[in-house]
Amino acid sequence: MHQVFGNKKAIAVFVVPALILYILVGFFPILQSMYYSLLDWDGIQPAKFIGLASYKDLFFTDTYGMDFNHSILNTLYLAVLSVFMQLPIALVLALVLARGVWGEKLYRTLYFIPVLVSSSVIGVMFLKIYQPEYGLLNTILNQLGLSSWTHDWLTESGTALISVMIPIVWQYIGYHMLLMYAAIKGIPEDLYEAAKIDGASSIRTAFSITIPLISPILKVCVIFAVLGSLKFFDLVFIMTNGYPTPETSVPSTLMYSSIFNRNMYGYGSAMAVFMVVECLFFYLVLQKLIRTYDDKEES
Amino acid sequence: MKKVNKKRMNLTLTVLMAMSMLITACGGNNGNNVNSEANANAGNTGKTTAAEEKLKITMWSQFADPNSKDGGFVGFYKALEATKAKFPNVEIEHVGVGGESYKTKVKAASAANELPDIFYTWGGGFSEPFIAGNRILSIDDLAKDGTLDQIVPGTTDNFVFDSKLYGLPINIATAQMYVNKELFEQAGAKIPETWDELVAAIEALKAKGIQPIALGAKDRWPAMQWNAILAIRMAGVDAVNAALTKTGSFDTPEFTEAAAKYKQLIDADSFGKHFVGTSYDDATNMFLSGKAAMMFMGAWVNGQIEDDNSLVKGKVVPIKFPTIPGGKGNADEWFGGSGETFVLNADLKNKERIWEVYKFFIETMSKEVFLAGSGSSAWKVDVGDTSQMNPLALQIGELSSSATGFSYWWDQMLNGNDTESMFGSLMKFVAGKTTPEDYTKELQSKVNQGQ
Repeated sequence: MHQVFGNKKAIAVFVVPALILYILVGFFPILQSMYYSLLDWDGIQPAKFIGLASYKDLFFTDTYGMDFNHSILNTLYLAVLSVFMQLPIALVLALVLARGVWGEKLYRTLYFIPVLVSSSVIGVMFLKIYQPEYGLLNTILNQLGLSSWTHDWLTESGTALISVMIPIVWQYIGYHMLLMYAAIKGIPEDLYEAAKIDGASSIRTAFSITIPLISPILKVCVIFAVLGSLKFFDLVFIMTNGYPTPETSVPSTLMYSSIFNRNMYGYGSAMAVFMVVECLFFYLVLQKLIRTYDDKEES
Repeated sequence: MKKVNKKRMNLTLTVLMAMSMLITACGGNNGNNVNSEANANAGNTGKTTAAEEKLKITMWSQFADPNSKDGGFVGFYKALEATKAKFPNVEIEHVGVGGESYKTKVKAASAANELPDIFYTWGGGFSEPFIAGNRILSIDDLAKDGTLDQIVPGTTDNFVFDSKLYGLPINIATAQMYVNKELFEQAGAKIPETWDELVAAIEALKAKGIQPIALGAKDRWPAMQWNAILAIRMAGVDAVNAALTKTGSFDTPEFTEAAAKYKQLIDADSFGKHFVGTSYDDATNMFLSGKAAMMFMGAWVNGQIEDDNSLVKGKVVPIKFPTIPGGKGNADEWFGGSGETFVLNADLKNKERIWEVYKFFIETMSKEVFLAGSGSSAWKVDVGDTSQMNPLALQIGELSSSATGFSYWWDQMLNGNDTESMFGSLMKFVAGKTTPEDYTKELQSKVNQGQ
């Protein structure tokens, strides 16, 4: 092994093809988008160079009434929900399952099912649940005599955003749970035996042993949850597409609509570039925060 | 949380673009099965004139499925076969791409200047950038051979840009009010011819617990249809068309009054309480299962209404949309018209010969689409036997034969950007967030910027 890693030719043979592929399909399109974002281009006629005008319009003028800033807030809201709702629920489930309950494997599979099922299936399923006339939710409320609680869930301004976010948060609980579950399973059993001998309660054990020991995975989960929220697309696109009322729009649906419905390649590319920068920014901030936290732990 | 990753999104876009370019590049050699039939036909008919050398025409359309039962598809393939039989010396290479990807394909091909000789397009806003970019041939001179006399007046309007004609019309598709006679009888309501009768019918139906009108606003365009027809009745087709082509204004008392009438219907729960969250499919099913008494919709629902599985088969009658007292529009002004066609590549060689083929093809398709029950013919042709036709299509043909004006689908008339802006304002309005006055002002400022 040592020899292979020391051999520069060997490194090149293994790394270069992947690197080229990555640059071609990962890095180059980003540069291309950056270039497109400086153009006024409908995809058909010759493009016009307009510099940063699209960015200015996006955040300040909002000529097209898309309210991009609002859509960014939506994703930040989703990120908060993910970190403070989704991850705690996933953690509790993982703690309970990993410390052994009856039917552990069955529950583990059940909670993971939403991750396996395609987003389009989940989107359509929740469309049916929320459907105002015959949807499951309103039907149940009516049966229970709670007709006043029924709503046009996905279109009323008060309920639309949260109704869209519930399935998003729900879908990935299983994913985070499985990551944490695997981490917990990796903790040596003798630590728990020692805790038991010392008379620690299971809650005490969780906070003093399990959670500190799986903190690397928790950090990964937080980063995944936040970055995933910032660039979220599929369920929103399927359930509301950001309309009929614009409360549920996210940057990626606006980007899609700019490029494919409005024929504004430059404007849409500016949104795409913003999302790249935004994700990069949050990634660095989170890394920094976590590192500061680690330093404090160690001192 | 992390399904669609933005890098991958960018990548997908790029790959899509690259793929469309590739497809375009190979377009010339990329015949499908239809192509081989063309060769067979050419060989069999034996009418070959030695003087005319073989001509190859490439053609793109969104009619991807030869087995589709949709009237437009049936008409297209019948016309294609007839054209191949009529012109044995011409080889037509047809490539069909379905749905939204067709739009992407032609846009990408246009950017690369790789468009085929003949291609399908939508009139109005969709074609505008192609014409501005000199991609489509003006057919003014070619059509002076008497062709225009055979065409129903007004049907070429959506293919005229800067007073130049760019395409021949195929068929006239209209939206009309479909009325469920049985439900109207139950409610003791009269089939409405005026606004007051419409309002009275709505009240009578509501009193019986029947939803008066099915409307699926979640898909946006059905909500647009109601705004459009009310504006046509209040302001007249000319004013509506002027606003859509940026030569007139949306911010007029008539448009505002039309929006106010719309709001009156919404506030009276004419469309039910949940129409904003109802999809087009849900609304159509409501009408087809006899749960709603009226629907204002394009002729494409004829097939579904008369389908054997439909619960309202034989119970539905199409009517002209009621007139509004004080409005400038009359009952013979229609929402709809002729807007989809094929156009010719601006760089065409052999213009005259291809024109002959094109003209015959469009005329035949116009007839076949009508016989398939999907809109009236835009050509003054004798269509022959109509006994097998959809009865609703025949009735609509009679109703619209006295038409004095058409205003085409707003989302086709406007370009993509304006369409999205229009939908944005419209949905805020129907969701009750803006008043009729603010709505028409916003429509004017967003759609007709700087007018």
